[in-house]
Amino acid sequence: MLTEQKKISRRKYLKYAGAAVGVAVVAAAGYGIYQTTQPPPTPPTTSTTTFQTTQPPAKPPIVVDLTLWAYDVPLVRNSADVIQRVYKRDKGVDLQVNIADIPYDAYKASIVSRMQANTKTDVLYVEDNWMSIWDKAGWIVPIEDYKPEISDYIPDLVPAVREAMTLHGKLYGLPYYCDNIIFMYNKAHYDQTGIDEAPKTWDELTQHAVKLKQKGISDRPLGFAWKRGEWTFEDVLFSIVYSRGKKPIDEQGNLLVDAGSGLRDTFQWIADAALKYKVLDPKSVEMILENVQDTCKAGQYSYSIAPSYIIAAINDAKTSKVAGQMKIAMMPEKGATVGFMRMDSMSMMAVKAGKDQIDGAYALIEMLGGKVDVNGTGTKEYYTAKQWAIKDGLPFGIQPLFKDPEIINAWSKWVDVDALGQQASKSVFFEAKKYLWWEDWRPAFETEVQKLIAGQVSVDSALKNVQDEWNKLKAQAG
Amino acid sequence: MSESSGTRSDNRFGLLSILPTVGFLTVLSTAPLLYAFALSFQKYKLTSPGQHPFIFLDNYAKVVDSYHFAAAITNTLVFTVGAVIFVFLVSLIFSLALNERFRGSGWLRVLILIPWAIPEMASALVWRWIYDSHFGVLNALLVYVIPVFQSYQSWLGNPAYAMPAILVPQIWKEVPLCVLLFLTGYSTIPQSLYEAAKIDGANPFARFRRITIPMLKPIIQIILVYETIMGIASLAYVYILTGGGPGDATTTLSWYTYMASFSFADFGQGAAVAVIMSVISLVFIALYFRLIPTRKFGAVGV
Repeated sequence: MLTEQKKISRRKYLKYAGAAVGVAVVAAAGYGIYQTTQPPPTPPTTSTTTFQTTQPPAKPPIVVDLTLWAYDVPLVRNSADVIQRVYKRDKGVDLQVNIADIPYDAYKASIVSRMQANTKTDVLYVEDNWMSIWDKAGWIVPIEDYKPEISDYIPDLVPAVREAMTLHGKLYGLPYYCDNIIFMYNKAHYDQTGIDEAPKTWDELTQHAVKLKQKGISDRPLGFAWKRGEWTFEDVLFSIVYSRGKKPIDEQGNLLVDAGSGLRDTFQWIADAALKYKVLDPKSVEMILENVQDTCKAGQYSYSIAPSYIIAAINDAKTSKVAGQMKIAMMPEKGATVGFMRMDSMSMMAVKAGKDQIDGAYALIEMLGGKVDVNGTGTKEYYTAKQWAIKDGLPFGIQPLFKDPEIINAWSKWVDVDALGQQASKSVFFEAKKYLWWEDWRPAFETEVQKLIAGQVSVDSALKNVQDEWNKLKAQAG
Repeated sequence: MSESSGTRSDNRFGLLSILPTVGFLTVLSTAPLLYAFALSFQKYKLTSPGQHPFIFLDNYAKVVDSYHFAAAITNTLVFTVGAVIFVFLVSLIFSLALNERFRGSGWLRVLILIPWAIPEMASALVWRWIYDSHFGVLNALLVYVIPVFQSYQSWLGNPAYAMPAILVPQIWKEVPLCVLLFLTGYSTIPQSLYEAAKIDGANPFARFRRITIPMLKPIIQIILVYETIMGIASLAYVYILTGGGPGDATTTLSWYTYMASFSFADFGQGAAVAVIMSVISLVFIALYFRLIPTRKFGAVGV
């Protein structure tokens, strides 16, 4: 029980609380008065003053805020350090780069929040899936409008990448990571089964997979990263459509699902592979790309249809059971595939901040995705793209780099670079990504594909559902 | 000082004391809620910046008509009811065990809090690894250690398993707090009641049913309300473990509101789903208050 002495009376409570608030108010007001009444700092009256008045005033530093998803951030920090040095050397101005790295899963939501809250963001990674929406929202700008010299890069860009980074006829950025979906197969598995050649058609692939299954090499030789929301879901599936020599969308933006359409044939092939021949792993619906990569590395899958960069890890002797066994073949049938891009882009915020900010932001974008004279020799190089390629095996979307001896040397350890180049030359950009309803439609599409694999819907029903949803969203978008 | 002026003074003091709390709640909770409510009646697409006309119930109509709604509302109800029931029962059992004094019970009381202290996103990633269909520890356990299955199962990819698979981490995460609440409740029940019941010949089950449960009603009410809200709002396990799949087996309203806002760039639609979630929560809460009246009973707030 509290004694009377220990109790705080209401009167005392109010008195202390009032005093605390009063002190806080007086302190705040006092600080404000101090701030407004202090004279501006006077220059020192030493000889330094004379020196300062004879020199042009130093330009204040430019602070560029870079927002990215976290992938090898130390490499980006190194490039940011390099551009700070180069900018100082070439322009005599301090360029500070602040990096905000966000996990990929949270990146899109984080950018939406940053933009809505007007949090300073000058340069940011943009994925082709979101580009149109972010452009329509007024968050990113066509860099060509502010830095026309960016068009000098156009001849160097892989055509599919250039198309992906272009909206309203203007270039919106420079490539950070640009890749193609490729077809990989385990050559050792083929040798054990006595199959000489990679499949030339999708039906032949199924037949090969059945043989691998019968031989006991893999119960489900084929697996995809088809968890809902997985970033390569549509790129992989529509690469199968394009490889059949078919387009999934017509010129009017209608989804093509009728008899003979590439999407119908692809859905039928998926259903057969999963349910009739039981060669497609139903676990695909819970797998992300890293899972597919690990399963290939363990020798449990004989095939992978995925972004080309994962072949580096699958063929890595340090971590993979099947190092050197995974080979590239052209996509079956017509050989076409989907190319996609992630780019360094400039925000409207940077533009609104004025010319210096645009210059600083563009310098950083060039450092990350373009060419910079790093050593002051007068020769510009794709410094960061080359670093990504050699260190992480990340493809780039820049044509001259396919001939770079250092990259060829590094990549030859895990892949046939010629075959990769051939496949890249047949990549196309999936134009549906530029529709404003694309992101709305993806979850419904992914749901139907997963139900198809589980045998919950027929091919006809799945196609009808995805088409109905496409048409509804298209109509809503006007 | 007269009695009435004393009462007035008491009231004034009470009001002044709760003012900071009310202020914080208004700024951090009520205002955003009202804003979301207002947003749900506006066209608020990020692709039309600066144009947010009042469209009355259009967002709600769009939500109800959407591809995802039927599955989302069904799954949300299944998930929430499942989570509330299991969290309640498991934490009741654990708390009864931990309420007994035995060697190590103090340590156990601390250890049981660990799941509650781990951020939801981090624990979701751990559970993803546990469930992995090719290399996961759960499969290894059930195939090699306790051979229940002959081959590895797809916990997150099989429509029959996916909902239980996301419920387990939710229960694992929520049980510690409820155990703590139950333990707090037990400590406020007067021992004299149990002693009197013993003298009257009541067996342990009768004492639990006639004393413990009635005296815990306010705590039970808090747990049910809190767990319902947590169940309806739970996102991390759906987002990280299944993405709402396989098919639409785990598509929930929280997933839908997240996608509508941040992926479809439609804050109006996202707000409409959020309001629907709030209404469902309120219905549940009203039901609890009706079914479990606490005025006559209770160790807290009597």
